[in-house]
Amino acid sequence: MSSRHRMQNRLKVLRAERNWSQAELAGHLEVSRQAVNAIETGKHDPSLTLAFRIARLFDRPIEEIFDDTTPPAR
Amino acid sequence: MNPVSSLTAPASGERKLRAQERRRGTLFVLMVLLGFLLGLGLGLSSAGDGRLPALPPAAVWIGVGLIAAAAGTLTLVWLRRADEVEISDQLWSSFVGLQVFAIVAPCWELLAATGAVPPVNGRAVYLGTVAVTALVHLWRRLRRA
Repeated sequence: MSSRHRMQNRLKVLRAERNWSQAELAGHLEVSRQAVNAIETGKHDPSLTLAFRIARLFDRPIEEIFDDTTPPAR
Repeated sequence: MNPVSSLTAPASGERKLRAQERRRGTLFVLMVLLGFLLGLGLGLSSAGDGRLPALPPAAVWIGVGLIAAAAGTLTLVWLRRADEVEISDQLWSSFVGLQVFAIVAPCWELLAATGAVPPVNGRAVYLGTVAVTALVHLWRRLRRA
């Protein structure tokens, strides 16, 4: 059975710290503004590649930006 | 990173994105206009009987080849530029469209074989599949808006 759980993320906070608009962040990541909005609002979980790109852009470890709070499977 | 570059870098990213969106918008409007003119031209030349004007077979092959090549090229260009959210929308809408086709076509065929419904109309199945695919794509885009 697949899980519909979505990750939490601090993208909006990190973006606000730099005073970037969604479009500016999208430009840095080379994705659409809609993609940034979808990730920020939890409607889309980024791929591993994009998650690494985001982590490098903000110079933070991935787990500091994305948080999967699902309890581990037994 | 020095303060100046950290201030200028975001603006260039945004400018790049806006320019890209402008190019996409222009291309979309041009394609719609081209489609309209093509439809209008064919409609006027068909004299209202719904049939295309008689053209030499070579012209028809060239025309169809150009349309197929343009559609293929646009698809490749889109694939190279689309991000993962757009690809995800496309995958979902294609999946639903394919499911609709795979269910509707054989069901209609079976019902038609028993005489319960008219024979399968390929054009209706095609247009229905495209319509469902487009609606799913649109719905996924709108729910994020």
